[in-house]
Amino acid sequence: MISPLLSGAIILSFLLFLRFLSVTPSITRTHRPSSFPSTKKPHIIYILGSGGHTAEMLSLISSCNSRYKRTYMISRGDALSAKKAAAFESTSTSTSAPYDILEIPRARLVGQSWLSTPWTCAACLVGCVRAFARVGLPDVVVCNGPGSAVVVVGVCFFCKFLGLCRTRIIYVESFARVRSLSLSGKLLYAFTDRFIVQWPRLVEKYRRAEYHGILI
Amino acid sequence: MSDTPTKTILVTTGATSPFPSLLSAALSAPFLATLQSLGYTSLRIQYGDCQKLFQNLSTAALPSCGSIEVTGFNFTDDLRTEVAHAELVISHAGSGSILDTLRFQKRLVVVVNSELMDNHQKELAEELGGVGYLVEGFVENLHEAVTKAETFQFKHFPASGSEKFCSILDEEVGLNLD
Repeated sequence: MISPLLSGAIILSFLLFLRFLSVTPSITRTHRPSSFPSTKKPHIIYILGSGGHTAEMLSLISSCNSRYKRTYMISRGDALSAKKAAAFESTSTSTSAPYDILEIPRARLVGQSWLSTPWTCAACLVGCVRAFARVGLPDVVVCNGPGSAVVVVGVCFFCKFLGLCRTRIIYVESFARVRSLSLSGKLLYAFTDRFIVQWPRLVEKYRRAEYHGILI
Repeated sequence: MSDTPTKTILVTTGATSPFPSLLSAALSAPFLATLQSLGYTSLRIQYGDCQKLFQNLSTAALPSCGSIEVTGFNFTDDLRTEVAHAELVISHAGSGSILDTLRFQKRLVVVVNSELMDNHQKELAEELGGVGYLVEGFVENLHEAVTKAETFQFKHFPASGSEKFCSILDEEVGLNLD
């Protein structure tokens, strides 16, 4: 006889599995909101990686209007990205909506050993949860591939799993990736609501990818 | 200051990895001779961490320089201003440097750093070269690439697709577009 405890555990894990499937965009077709309440400003988080990633992100969103509440997430110690984001905000045409720049610890440093990576990832995770506690969960998160983005998207996805939010996750692969995805792209592929690439060849290889020309 | 028109060529070796072979090629005698024959008056070099090498090579190259003024800098926050002043850019294959040059619709020669591991930069350079946005060059025959670039019919590089992306963003938020 299976004990009631064990059968309960099996049923529970089955239900959790179903829940997981139901929030995973690559398995269940997710629906975006058909309209947004006019009393509220949509909250968007842009994840800025470093040098090239930051430059691409700011170019990508250069003509986006300021109807959104914007949060820029940068890696700790990346003063240049913070400076660029602030400069970007000061030159954008409308300055009506507020914006935040938040720092989170890096998930992995360039050249760091894989053995110590779990610890830095955990620190990044804690920083990310704190950041969300401060600015709230976003309506949309936009990222283009730095390592820390994997952690931020992971947290967003888990919150969706728990039913805390319905955050739409948009991934834009770097213009530099012509024939293959970056590691972050491969890791996040199944969990993004929109997976956008900037070279047509990648659409042939990855079924869920969309190509709208060079966007940056 | 003289009133003679300047014709500037910019060479970028990248900010993250040193590229000494490109530096050597840009200060080699055959390359400098080609620049003179094409009427260049100024050679600007972004040399990154290779300051010593740049100083040694530019001193050694002094006899071959002729009317060309050679200047250099390690890094800049504002590559675009440098690009804007140049007729032709010889760039490492980093996407930032490539994009800055193409957006200014400048003549571009890209040299891939073959010493880099996991070289997806090569794919980018080949793809853009195949379309005709840039000319691919090699450190062994940089002067040939520059000669080719002087008369090459470069394809016009598209402006930012940011507006397209913003409409995707609006869609995802559920904002009405009209």
